[in-house]
Amino acid sequence: MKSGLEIKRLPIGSTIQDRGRNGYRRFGVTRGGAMDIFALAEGQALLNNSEDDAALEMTGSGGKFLSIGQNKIACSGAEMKLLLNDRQVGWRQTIILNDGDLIEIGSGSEGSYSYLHLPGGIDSPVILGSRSAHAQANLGSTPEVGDHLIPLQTEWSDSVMRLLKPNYYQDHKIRILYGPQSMLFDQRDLLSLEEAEFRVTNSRNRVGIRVESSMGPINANLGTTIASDAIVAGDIQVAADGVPTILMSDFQPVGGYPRIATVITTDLHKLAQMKVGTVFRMEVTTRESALRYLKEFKSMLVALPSQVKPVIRNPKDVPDLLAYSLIDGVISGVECDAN
Amino acid sequence: MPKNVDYPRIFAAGDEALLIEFGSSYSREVSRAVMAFDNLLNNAPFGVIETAPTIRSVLVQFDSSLIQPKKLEDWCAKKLADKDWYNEPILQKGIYWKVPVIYGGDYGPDIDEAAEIAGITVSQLIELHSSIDLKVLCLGFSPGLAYLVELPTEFAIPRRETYGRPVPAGSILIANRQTVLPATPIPTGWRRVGATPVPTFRPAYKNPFLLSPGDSLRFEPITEAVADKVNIDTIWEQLDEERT
Repeated sequence: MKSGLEIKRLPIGSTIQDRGRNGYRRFGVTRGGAMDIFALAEGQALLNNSEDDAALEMTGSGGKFLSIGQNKIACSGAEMKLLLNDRQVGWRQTIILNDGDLIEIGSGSEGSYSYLHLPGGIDSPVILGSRSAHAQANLGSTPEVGDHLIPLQTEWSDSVMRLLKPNYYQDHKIRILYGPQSMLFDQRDLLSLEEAEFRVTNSRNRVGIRVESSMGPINANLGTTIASDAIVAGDIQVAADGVPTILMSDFQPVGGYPRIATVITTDLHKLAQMKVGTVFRMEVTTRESALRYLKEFKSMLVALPSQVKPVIRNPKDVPDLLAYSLIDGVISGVECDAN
Repeated sequence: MPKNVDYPRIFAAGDEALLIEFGSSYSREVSRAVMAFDNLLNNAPFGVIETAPTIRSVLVQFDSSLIQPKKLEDWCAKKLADKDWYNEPILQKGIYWKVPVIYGGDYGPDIDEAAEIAGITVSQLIELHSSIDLKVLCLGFSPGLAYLVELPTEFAIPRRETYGRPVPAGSILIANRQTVLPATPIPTGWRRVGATPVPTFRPAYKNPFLLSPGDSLRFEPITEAVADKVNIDTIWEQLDEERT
């Protein structure tokens, strides 16, 4: 029998994502890829997948999946309520499913993007070097109810592994760099960026996050439009109404609205995970520092597989292994998050 | 048009890209510089992931674990100072395409309006539009959407203020002496004067985009009756033969 998960329910906005694509910018296609690259790497580490493997990205709430044959899965990113045949099971750990098992992913209180992983990644066509769906570019696949999520690897170990929760969900400081168009803005507005409070509005998706700010409408001296120029991920674009939008994974390659500053690469996943209403601050940094943070961030991604630990089984839970909860479980101080 | 003394200039765009701006807007000189410098970047130092020209700049995306940004910046600054990029000869590399176009009718519903604004007849518009070699300046906005320059002064037609319903892939759109050829459906304020039956984006292909920055093309008016007979595969074969 073919293994995999049959989708019984799936919220709008769920897409297949990997790290995105390089090399097609000159043809009008931006990188795209998982909104939370750290969360993507968590699931890859749990299942011993490669860094290019794809996962199902879900936002707001998860879906309902029926196991066809035996399967191994892992969930990562924003923690959501996870039920295996109506019993709550642990997030950020591997779960072995038998034929007919039902996995239900509900909503969560913290974070915006969650990922469901299968061994070897989820099978889907590679287009322009990536499996990432890119709505803006009309590329890639968007699974629907009735579709099957097929693992690319059918052999897997039945050990149950887990990762500890990272701490960036509470980090509400976003570091920025001034950019090519910063000087189009009033000095006062540039300085206010560090003083102001920003709030994530409900106008947000994979393309961008519109934010309200305590500094009021931002004024660009050249009016609202400039000749179109190249956009990079994290650019903070100010539209005619003076309201900033931070451009995320599926941004357009060029744009005509001026950009006041750019969020550093290292903080994009943090920002992506902020729920609607989250209040955050910006801090201006230097490229030198930004690149140091990026180096540290990349080393953290590389180190993730070494932080995967077997689930420690409390003898009294043995008949009920999958119900093992990290929060109630026995975790010695030595294992505490090294981050 | 005299070049602005402030250009060219190099900016950091985020932490892993440089933006080299050659002007504040499109001009023939700026586009020469953009194309020539983008071409030079084919031989950029190790660590450059990709480059992309826009109508007035070149974006250089790099991997900071492979190259120090300062080193790349210095390399670019040195190359920029080497010569007058604004007077570089137009690049003669790239593929020369003949693109069949059905003008007017349902394929180009705005052609009458465009001709009226231009102060010429529809047949004059078609004649002018299809008797000049256009350069693929850059692709952007949406996948495979090509900005083509430069049309005669008659085509200094402004964009519409508002966007209409999305136009189909293959539409021939004109404004501001430029032609835009989208490869996917897009909303636009540009006027639609025709359409080509040739797809310019085939996602599953090894070379998925027909047009590249630096290519040239000429539009060839065809009638709806012969549109079905256009051999699309023959046109695409040229891509695999010439683009290695």
